[in-house]
Amino acid sequence: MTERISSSTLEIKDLDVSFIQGEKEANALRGISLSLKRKEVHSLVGESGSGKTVTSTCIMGLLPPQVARINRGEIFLGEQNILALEEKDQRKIRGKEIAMVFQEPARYLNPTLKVGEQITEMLRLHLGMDKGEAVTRALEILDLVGLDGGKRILGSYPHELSGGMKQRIMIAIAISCDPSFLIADEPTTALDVTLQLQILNLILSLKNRLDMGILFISHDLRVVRDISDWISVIYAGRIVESASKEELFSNPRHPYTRMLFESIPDADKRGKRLKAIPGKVPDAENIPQGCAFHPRCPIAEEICGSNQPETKDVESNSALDSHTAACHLIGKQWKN
Amino acid sequence: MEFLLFIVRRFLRLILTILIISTIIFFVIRVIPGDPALVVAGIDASEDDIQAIRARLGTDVPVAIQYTRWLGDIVRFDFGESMISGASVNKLIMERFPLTLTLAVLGIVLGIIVAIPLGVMSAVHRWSFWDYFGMVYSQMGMAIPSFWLGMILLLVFAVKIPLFPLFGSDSLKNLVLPAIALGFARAAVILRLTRAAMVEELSREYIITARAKGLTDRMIRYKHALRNAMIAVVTVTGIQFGYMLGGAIIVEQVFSLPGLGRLFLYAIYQRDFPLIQGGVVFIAVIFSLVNFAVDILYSLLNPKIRIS
Amino acid sequence: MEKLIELKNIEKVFKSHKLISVKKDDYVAVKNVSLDIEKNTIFGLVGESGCGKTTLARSVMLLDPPGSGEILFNGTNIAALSGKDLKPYRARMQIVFQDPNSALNPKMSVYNCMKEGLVNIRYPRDKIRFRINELLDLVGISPGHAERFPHEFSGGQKQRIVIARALSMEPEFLVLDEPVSNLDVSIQAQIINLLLDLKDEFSLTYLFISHDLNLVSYLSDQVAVMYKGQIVESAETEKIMESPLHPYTLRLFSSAPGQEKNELFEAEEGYSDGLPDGFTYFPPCAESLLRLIDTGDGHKVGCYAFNGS
Repeated sequence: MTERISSSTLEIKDLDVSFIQGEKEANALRGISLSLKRKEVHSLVGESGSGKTVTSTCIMGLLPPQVARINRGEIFLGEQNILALEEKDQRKIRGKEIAMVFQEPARYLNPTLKVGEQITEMLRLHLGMDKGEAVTRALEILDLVGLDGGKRILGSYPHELSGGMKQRIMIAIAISCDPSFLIADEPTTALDVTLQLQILNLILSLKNRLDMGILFISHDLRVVRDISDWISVIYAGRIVESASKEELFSNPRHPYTRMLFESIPDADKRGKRLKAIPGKVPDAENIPQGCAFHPRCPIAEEICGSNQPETKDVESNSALDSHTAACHLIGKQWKN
Repeated sequence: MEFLLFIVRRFLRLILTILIISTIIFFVIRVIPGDPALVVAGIDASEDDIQAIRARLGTDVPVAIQYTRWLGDIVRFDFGESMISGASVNKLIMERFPLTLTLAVLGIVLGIIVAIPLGVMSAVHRWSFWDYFGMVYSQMGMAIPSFWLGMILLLVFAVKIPLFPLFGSDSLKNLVLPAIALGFARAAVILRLTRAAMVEELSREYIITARAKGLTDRMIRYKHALRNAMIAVVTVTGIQFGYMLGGAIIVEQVFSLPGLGRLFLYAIYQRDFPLIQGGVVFIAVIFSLVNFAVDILYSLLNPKIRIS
Repeated sequence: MEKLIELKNIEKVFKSHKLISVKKDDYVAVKNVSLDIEKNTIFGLVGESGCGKTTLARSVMLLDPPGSGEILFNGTNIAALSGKDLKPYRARMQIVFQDPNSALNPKMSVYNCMKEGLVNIRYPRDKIRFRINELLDLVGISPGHAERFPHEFSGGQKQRIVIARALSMEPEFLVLDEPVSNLDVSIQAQIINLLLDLKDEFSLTYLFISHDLNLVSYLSDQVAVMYKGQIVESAETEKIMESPLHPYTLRLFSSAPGQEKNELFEAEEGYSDGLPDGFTYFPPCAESLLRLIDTGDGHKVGCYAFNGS
């Protein structure tokens, strides 16, 4: 059958993307770099409008060409810069090398196609299987994502399945061609809490079985806590801090990350006021000068409003891991 | 089982619709001031003549009895005899119906052949040549009256370039020009709807999934988007077809075709009450049947509808 | 403590509208719910989507009056009132929904949006502008922005405006239905702090509805867990957090993100969707009406496993 590129890394280098609408330009990504290895879960955490979905859309090559402009940057799948590929060749990567799971399975599945068709069409296209082979493989995949019911499920329409089952189907579609990398864009946000855990477990177990690298996109630090190897925090189109999970949770250095942790309500903070982050998330058309976070930062100084901070290595608790942050005032005492 | 139940439910609704429509028809004709018998008989008629006509019309008994008789007629599908020709209303309608049916089928098929591909092209390549072409076409289709188009067609393709016959209704060839005249405007409506539905479907989230799967544009458009867009298109096309079955009065007149439209037109001219009543009920039944068929087709296309 | 709101056996059924139907499709959204909310406290109601918590909220507000049951407001059964008698109570209880976009008319300026309500309660006309400015200031919106339209504000600001509008009625009781779920993480804490401040300042009583257990356990005095239209457990927050009794509560707590649960990762596999363990052990629980048993100190649980023991 077709030979595999079988890449072991997915690397984004200095990606800068704008959306142009008439006179307005929204600089959605302002030089993002991150790398992902197989068998690793790298979480990208940010609020709405921070650029996390633009990042995943760009990796998949699905930015709308009419309005999106890639100003600079590269995305390497192994040795190959996939941004430089023709649409035809990008298509061979989509779904086959890099697959994606979306937030709301109910909307991201075709309502009028049977589930079986939605899985097998990919197998036939990318792997050249015939109908019988594809069905056999689809049944194996259903088993893999923990759906029993086999043929009955293949013959049903999405709306006949529960929310959790639909998300399992989404995942089945994504892993059907045995991709090297999986982008999971808030795959549990639309689900009930008791289902969230199941889906997270499933993604983790599939990662181990299929040796996939996972880029996990979320707005919630708590959700990524259990599954991540590495976490990058994104704010206004830039990665402000990046470290291993243990390091980030025990030793957050960027003021934004610190404040995110402090603002999360839980039972331990009962009776105390939450430390809220003042102000609002900047929109991509009006990103503040200098450090984008400085208007909301309690320790900001003059330099923060004028110069954009470089991403620097910071002291890590563990000697093995690197820990980077983009802040002028990393050494400064954190007022609690 | 689910599906069977759905069909039964829709069928009962169909029966109910027909019952309501025929009741309305019955009372409209009775409520309108003036005695139909007087109208039919004319001013010079004697009291005996009028009485005789009342007897023929069945208006000489109390309304309650008339209504029960009327319902009985509906159930048996028997509308009595034409007051002019004396032939049974059913026979008159059935003589004309095949022609109208053929014309309507030809018209809608022509319409679909033009409209759906053009609508899809317009939606997929927005602001391209095809899109502008589609826009111009749909503007023209809605603006040009069918009688004018019919006459121009006759003038060009029957008189100047005699490709098609000018008169007659016995061969399919006779129906080509009328079908074009009839389908032209319908196609405009279907085209606009197809374009709108495709544009809408192409912006839905499942299209992003399809793209993320690495499917080709062809598969995304025709397998994923078109299938969903068709749900709306089928409904509108069905209703358009229903209208055409009621008889295309103007087109039949222009092409001198002995179809249902002309039959009913003359029935109105001649105040042939049994024929008018029968005709209206017939059209109502046909329309309801088409709707019924559309509902079923719709549910086949849209799996959600069967459950809810 | 004095009770402000008492719900007694609230039930809400949505009737099927099918002409011909083989099976009965009536949907019981809320089943026999009783609960008491004390003055100047926060009552947290937790549950997953479809458990009936929003239906219950709408019933309490008499937006969709309950099919049966009593809603006592300061001892008066407002479910039995109508028209003129009910009107004063409508102002005394207000609701804030999850999505501020659907709560604000996009074609009305913030000022007009707020004026509507004040005119309705016959607030002195010459004082309306002053009052609106005061309210906006209270929730942290610059009164100078009153003439702006909703789309000119961010999500968090819109929710502040919705809260200001609810406060303009001078309510005693606020139902907060997932008021921060649509907001950015960094904004949520602002709104929660605001709600806590307002509660203290105006001695408000809240019914706080959420799927987020961390949030509910942070701010509630009492917590009730709802599942399939029924309250399965309710207690003071500390008690229910320390020793949850009902299997569903346990499951909900162990699923909440951020809880230490690495060892649970294996154990959790194998659940069928939706139906938690406890119910599958004992099928009657899923079908029948639960009877809440008081295990002491107001910790109530509706589970057959606790009957008699």
